This record gives sequence, structure tokens and C-alpha cells, in this order.
Amino acid sequence: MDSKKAEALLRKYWEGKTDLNDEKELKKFFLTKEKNENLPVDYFKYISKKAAYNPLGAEFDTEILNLIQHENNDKKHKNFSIKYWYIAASLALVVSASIIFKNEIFSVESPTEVVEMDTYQDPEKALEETKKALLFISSRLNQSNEYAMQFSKFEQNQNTIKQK
Amino acid sequence: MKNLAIVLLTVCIGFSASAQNDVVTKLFNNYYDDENFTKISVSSKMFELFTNIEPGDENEEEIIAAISKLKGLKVIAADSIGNSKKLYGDAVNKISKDGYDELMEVKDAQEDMKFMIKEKDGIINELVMVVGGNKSFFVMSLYGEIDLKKISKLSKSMNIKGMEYLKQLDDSESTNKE
Repeated sequence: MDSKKAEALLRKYWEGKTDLNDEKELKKFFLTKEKNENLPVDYFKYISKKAAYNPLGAEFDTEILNLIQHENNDKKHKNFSIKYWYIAASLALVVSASIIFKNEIFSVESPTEVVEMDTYQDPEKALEETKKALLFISSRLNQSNEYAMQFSKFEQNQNTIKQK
Repeated sequence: MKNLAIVLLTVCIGFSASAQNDVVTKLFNNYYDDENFTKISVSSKMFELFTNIEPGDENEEEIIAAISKLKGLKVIAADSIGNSKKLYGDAVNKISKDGYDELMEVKDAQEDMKFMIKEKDGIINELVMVVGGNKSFFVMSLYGEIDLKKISKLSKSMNIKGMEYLKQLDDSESTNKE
């Protein structure tokens, strides 16, 4: 490439109209040149050097991308396992709830069986016992009522004494 | 997920609470195999049969009329046990925690006595009497539609020796005091 062509390309470059090939040629051209005040030799040397400078290594991008990919997978996995735990926990809750429910139902059922079991098979005898029980309750009820009456009487008497 | 857990828990608690409705039945069951306790249970079927029995006299007629609306009876009784007061306390505790209302309580030197009822729309559905003496313990539960007036009238109209005797004693005491 002669210097005229280079000059034209350079103009195009500053105008931002060059393509990658043009720029490659420009770099190539200027790399062979010595330092020149009229030409941006240093600049092109710098950017080619900069482009070549890669302390992270050529594999860096792919490695990073792989890592990110991996992490995403891990997260997905984690989310999955957390979901799994939720399901397991709710299942355990449902199971224990149903066990408690069932047990309670049974523990209620067994006493009702007892309730329905008559102590006396003979109605006459059962009536006799029921009578006794009722009379017992009846007499105790009256007894308590009488206590209450006595107290109210006592209170009345107290009041009359106080009034006197 | 948290909400689900809360809902499930409430359901569990709800079931376990509702399952303990009949505390007297539970008490009855607790002492079912204990020979120190006399247990009497009369079922609703038996109560139905009572209405078919021809009443022998007026008193029996009155009793049958009083029990015609009853549906069950359960009695637990013991007369020679050491921890009767504790049993009384436990039973009263359990019963009053179970939504029964206290009707009345009598405490004297010999025994404590408590009546508790379950009431709905002005009708007593269950009457529980708990008595705890020095060595005696007694729980009686009546189910069905309970008319307290009818029941208390029974012993007044009938001649019950022991109770009459007690009543006379009380009367004479109260007249002496007055």
C-alpha cells in the first residue's frame, strides 16, 4: 500500500467509514512506519499492541461463560431441590394431619361404642338404675337449691339486722 | 407454601379440638377397665324402650315422663378411693374447659359438688354432675332434652328416705338458726 492510498484510507478512518479489512491494512501499514509527526503511527501501534494484549488469556471468555452457565445450572438445581423440599414438607404435613385426624376419629369412635354399650340388657333393670340415678341427681339438685335458699335467707337476715 | 402450612395446622388443631367434644365419654372410657369404679351406661335405644314399659304406679309414671326426652345416661362412681379430691378437680377442670357452663356448686366439709350443663337455644342438652367426697368420686351425665324442674320435682314428690332425712335435718337446722 502506498502512502497515497494510506492517506485516503486514513481520512476514511477518521470519518468512521472504514471496514475491518481497511483497518487491518491501516494497522499493517503504520506498523512498518517509523514515528512521524504527520501520521498517527504511534496511535496505530498502540491500538494493535492493545489488541494483542490479553492478560486473561484467549480462553478467558469461554471459561467465564462456562462458569456462568454452570452457576445458572446450579441455581436451577437448587431451586429444584428447594421445590422438592417444599413438596416433601407439605406431603409430610398432609400425612401427619391425616394420621392425627384418623387417630382422633378412632379415639372418638371407641368411646361412642362404649356409650352405645348398655350396662344392662334388661330394660326393667336399666330403668331401675336410671330411676336411682335420676333421683340421686334430683335430690342433689334440691339439696344445692336449699343451700342457695339458706344463703339468700341468711343474706336477707343479715340485711334486716344491718337495717335495725 | 407458608399459607398452606398454616391452613393445614389450623385444620389439624380444629380436628383435634372438635374430636374432644365428649369429655365425659372420655372420662368414662378412662375408668372403663378400672375395677374400683362402677360404671353405668344406658343408651338412647334403652331409653326408647323405657317408654314401652307400663308404669307400675304414679311415681313410676312421673319418672317415665321425666325421662321420655332423655337420650342417654352415664355414671362413673367410686366410694373407696384415696385420690377422690384430685379426681374431682381434674374432672371439673376437663369438663369446664370443654364448653360446659356451671350451673351450681356446693362445697362443704364432706364433699364438693358441681353441676354443669351444655345449653343450646335455651334447651339443656346435657347435665353433668360431679361429686368429690373424702373417698368418693362420682360423675353422672345425662343427655337429651333436660327439664331441670321436672327432675328436681322427682325427689320431692317421691319419698326418698335418706334424702328426706337430710332435708329434715337441714330444715330443723335452718329453723334453729332463724
